[in-house]
Amino acid sequence: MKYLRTFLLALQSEFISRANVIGWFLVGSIPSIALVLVWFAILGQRQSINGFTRGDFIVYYLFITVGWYIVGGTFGRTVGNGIKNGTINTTLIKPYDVVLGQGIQEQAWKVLSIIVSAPATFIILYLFRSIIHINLSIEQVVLLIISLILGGINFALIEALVGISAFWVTEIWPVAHVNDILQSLFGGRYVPLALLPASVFFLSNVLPFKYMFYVPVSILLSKTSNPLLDVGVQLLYMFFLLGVYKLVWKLGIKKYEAVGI
Amino acid sequence: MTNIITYLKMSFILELKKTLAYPTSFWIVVITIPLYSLIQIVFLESIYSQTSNFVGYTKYEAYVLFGTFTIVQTIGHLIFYNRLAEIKGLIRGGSQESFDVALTKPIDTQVFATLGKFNFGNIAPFFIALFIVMYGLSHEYHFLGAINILSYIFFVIMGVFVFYLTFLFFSTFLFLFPELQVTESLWDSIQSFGQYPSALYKGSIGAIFNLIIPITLMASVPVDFLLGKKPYQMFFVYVLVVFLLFFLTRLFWNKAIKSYSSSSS
Repeated sequence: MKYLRTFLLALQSEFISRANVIGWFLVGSIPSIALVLVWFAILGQRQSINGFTRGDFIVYYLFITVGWYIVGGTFGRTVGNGIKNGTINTTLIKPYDVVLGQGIQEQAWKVLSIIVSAPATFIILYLFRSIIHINLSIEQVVLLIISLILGGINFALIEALVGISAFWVTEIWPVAHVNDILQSLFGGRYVPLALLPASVFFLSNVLPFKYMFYVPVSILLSKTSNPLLDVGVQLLYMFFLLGVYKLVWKLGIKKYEAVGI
Repeated sequence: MTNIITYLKMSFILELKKTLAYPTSFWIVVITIPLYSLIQIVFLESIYSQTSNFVGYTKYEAYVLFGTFTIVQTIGHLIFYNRLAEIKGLIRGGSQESFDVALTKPIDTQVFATLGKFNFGNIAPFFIALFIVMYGLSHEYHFLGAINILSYIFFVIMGVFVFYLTFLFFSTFLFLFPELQVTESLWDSIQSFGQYPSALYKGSIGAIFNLIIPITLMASVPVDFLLGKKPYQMFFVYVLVVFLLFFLTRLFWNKAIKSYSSSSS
């Protein structure tokens, strides 16, 4: 109930400056538009590149943009700043998980952003309906939904780890920056992993970043040979990251000096 | 003019002293920023594993393009970024000083509010970018006459100027809409169009990014002049476009600051 209240309060404050939500949608869309133009230019007269057609590229980068509001987020920076300037102190003595609270609070702008981006998404899907072909079975739809949830949890756990790194480092932005780079490269946010050089593709299969955005979008585009296995690995990564997070939090709290009290 | 030179000189010395006293931020930038180049290099390799010619650019020409974009970005971040990023704080009153201070200084308000902070950490990525340009040029033969090289240097400087003018243009909106949080990120996103060849943008998109907001001046135009891909008549067109952009940005700034209502009162 307390987390629901946190969410509702955050939703109310997001409504105060609604124009920013539209602005953030534009910010997220622009790099995707540029990348679609790049792949279209490479495609030229060809039908596809490694199985990716024009329609696939549109869906892929549309998912990277809009899927951010389901899977992505930035609450790690808020948690990190809270540790740095001591604002988490008041919540540490209450029956309230500050990191979970920030994660739930963040869902407010994500929900609002999904609503704002929905018309643009439908317009794009409608305009390119002749080249977009999505054929999903009921099983695939179920796996896609599970994969999105697990991707979101895995993303949030890594984001939380970035945030609580502030127990040890004074500046959190370099950690967040490195995480962004790793996600872009090995998580397929920049280039579909299937189009990357072999060595990078191999590394992306081992690292957890693939199991946030890439697995759901590859299920959506039917680009994975074994979606059940991918979702299984997502689940394993979730338990692994949860364990790491709990350990790091315990170590961090022991070290924390509660600046500001 | 003497005031401006003195202000910039003293600011430079002060920032250098700050960097020497608190070198952490310097080293963080030195270590983390070049990592971004890694993504771009992997991206270039991915592109050229599919094609040998991407909108008129070979693989090594694309390396020169990416290196040039990074050079413009690092110089822009070194000289302009830190101060321009503070404008939102000045207007909203969140930073240590407010825009009121800028209005009372005996130098041009725009100079005081947008110049005078330096991020020396960008020196390392600058040299990495320079190396990428050299790497690209050394792998393919190109005739590089004095005019090509001078035009390249001139348009790199113009590209840095466009970096400043576009960021200033977006930041100026904060006078009219102080609650806007996306100005910097929006500018940053739009800049991403600048790292690709200008020929990628056709029709109305091409007119926007090549002439109206000449983002392609940050990489494609200097490289096109270096490699002799652009006719020299275009030299004057681009110079005119940049001066027009400067004039309009200045006009917008002067109009917008009239909307400023002191943050502390």
